[in-house]
Amino acid sequence: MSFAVSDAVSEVLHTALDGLTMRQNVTSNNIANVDTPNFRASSIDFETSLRAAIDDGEVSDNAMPSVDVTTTPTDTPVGANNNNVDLRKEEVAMVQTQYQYQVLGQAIGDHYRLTQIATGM
Amino acid sequence: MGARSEASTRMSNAFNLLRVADEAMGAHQTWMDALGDNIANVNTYQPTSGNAFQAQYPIFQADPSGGVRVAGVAQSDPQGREVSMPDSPLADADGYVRAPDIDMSSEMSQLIMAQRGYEASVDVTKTAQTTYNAALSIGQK
Amino acid sequence: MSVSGIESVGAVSGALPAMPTMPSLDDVGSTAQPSAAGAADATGATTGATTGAQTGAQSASGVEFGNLLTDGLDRLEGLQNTSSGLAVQAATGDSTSIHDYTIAAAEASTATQLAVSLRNTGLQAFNQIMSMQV
Repeated sequence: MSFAVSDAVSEVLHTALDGLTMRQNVTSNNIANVDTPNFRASSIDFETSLRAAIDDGEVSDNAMPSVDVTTTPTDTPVGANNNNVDLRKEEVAMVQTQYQYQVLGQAIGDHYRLTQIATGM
Repeated sequence: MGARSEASTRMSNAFNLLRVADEAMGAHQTWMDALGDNIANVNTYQPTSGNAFQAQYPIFQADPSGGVRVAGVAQSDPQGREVSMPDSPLADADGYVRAPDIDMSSEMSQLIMAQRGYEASVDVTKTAQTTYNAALSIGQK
Repeated sequence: MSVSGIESVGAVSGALPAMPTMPSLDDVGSTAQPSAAGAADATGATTGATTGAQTGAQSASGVEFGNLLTDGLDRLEGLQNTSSGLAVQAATGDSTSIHDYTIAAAEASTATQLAVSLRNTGLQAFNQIMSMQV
């Protein structure tokens, strides 16, 4: 296992960052359509599949785990225009997702940094 | 862009957040402009022989690749309201003119919604910047 | 009300595998300064060289040190190519996300540093061995 600076941990982190990016896209789409008639907001879940892949030991070094992303329409009530976007919920989701992204970005950087420190750099 | 924009839930451009927010800001700006024009013409009268001034409202439609776009324009009733104004040079034989079918309170509440929708997408652009900066910091000492 | 589909970060990190140690450094017996003592013991260095690198000799895992280095350098080249490829994608506007590039760049940078460090340590050991009185 020489030079395997990318291991299971960083693969999981990278996958999670991809999932959070997808979530940001879905949330910004919901926000953009806050006034669109007949629009239904949706949300995605990648954590369930990622957690299952980890628990089943399917995560290996140098290969990103295959994760199923499920998209579901949200269950917020429909308002004017037959539109169910809850702006408060979407904006809070946007803030939370952004902070999760920052945490994971820092985590993966720290992970590589450990190797760099060990080499005396 | 063909294959990419047909991808199912994954919007695969690096700056998709900005594109979606920009598109939404554009649509809401169009809405605000239309409302401003409607309000400015609330007292624009026409003779009964023709159509009243018609208020305009953009029709929003979800963009399949993410975001919202203006798919068309809806117009208010060309009949408008017949108002008695015998002294107007536009008045017909019975002294009526056509006033536009515009309800000020409805226009104002729409203006508030349009501004709220616009601001929400402005917030998305700020989130995008923070996110991109976080991505750029990966691996930086 | 809770946001559907959004889990706390703690839930994800709680299930992650434990952070690995640096097996490649321990296995081949060549070490950076922090773990010199432990690695030398693991490979049973016989010459008494303080760094313990053994060119051509068997390492603890049974693989020739030379092969390990070659495989590692191939992988390093692969990592650098991946990083360069993603940079080009970013230049042509085809990249899917910024973090794809920065992660690949961090990975390639770390691997390069590791390779340089191992080479320097190996050179040091080689020179020490060559300068010994026989």
